[in-house]
Amino acid sequence: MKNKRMKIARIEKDLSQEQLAVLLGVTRQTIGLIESGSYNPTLKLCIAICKALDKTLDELFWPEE
Amino acid sequence: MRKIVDERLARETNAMTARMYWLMLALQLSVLIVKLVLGAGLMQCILDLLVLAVGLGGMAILRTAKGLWGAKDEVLREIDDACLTKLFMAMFWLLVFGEFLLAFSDGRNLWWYAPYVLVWGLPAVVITVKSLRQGLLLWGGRQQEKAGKARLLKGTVLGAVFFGVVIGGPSCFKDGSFQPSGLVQVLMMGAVWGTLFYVMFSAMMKRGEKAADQAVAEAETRMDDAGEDAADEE
Repeated sequence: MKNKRMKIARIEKDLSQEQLAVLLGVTRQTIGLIESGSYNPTLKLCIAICKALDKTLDELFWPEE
Repeated sequence: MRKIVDERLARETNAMTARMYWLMLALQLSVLIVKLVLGAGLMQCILDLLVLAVGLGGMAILRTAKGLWGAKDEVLREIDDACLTKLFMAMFWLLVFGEFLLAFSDGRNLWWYAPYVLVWGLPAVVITVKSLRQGLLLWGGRQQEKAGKARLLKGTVLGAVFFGVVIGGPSCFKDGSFQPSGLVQVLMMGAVWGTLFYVMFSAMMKRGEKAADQAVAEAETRMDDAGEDAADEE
């Protein structure tokens, strides 16, 4: 399932996929795959994404009801 | 800029390299058997035995220490892949440097050492081709590309100097005296090797980047289609 909440949070922060990737030390393609729901990041990377986007794990990664 | 350590790339690369560890072991064992059948002595098989000891011994130690024997759990398998990748790299460099040293120190028995190229070369080619196809060999963005190219240039210059000195070095000395014309040969060889390596590696990274972008685009399309199907069902 696509992670639209992460994409919205990133755009709200005015960050491109590449800028977020640089902040996290990963590739742009990995950010693309997480947002498209094709790659499940580890908890470590999830926390790093949440910190970079000022969100909680629930807000970004908990499945919507 | 620091070198990126992308967990997705590391995981997928480790899984692929772990499989190549078994290929390298099988090739090494086959080469040793053929050598023994053809009557090779202990000295001609010393590197083979060392590589097998590092590969098999290292696996036994690491799997026992980390409790990885028969690992079926996803996380344990990832740890096992990472261990086998480290052993693959140890065997690879041992073979490359070992072959280099043996070829220079015992040039008369070159034919006994030539098969090592197959043992380290075939898995390396498979890893490179698969990495390119799966988009695992990439810069990962324009900023990373800039920093990566600077690192590549530095590595290429070092490699070119090494290649030029090793291959062209002997032509600098003739009958015990220094030949300035040999220096030109060293520079030429280094320049040709360096240029070829840099151009080829840059082209491979470009191809890998393209494959990775294509994979992301395909994943997005797939997820869009899945979303539309789910909406239709509702």
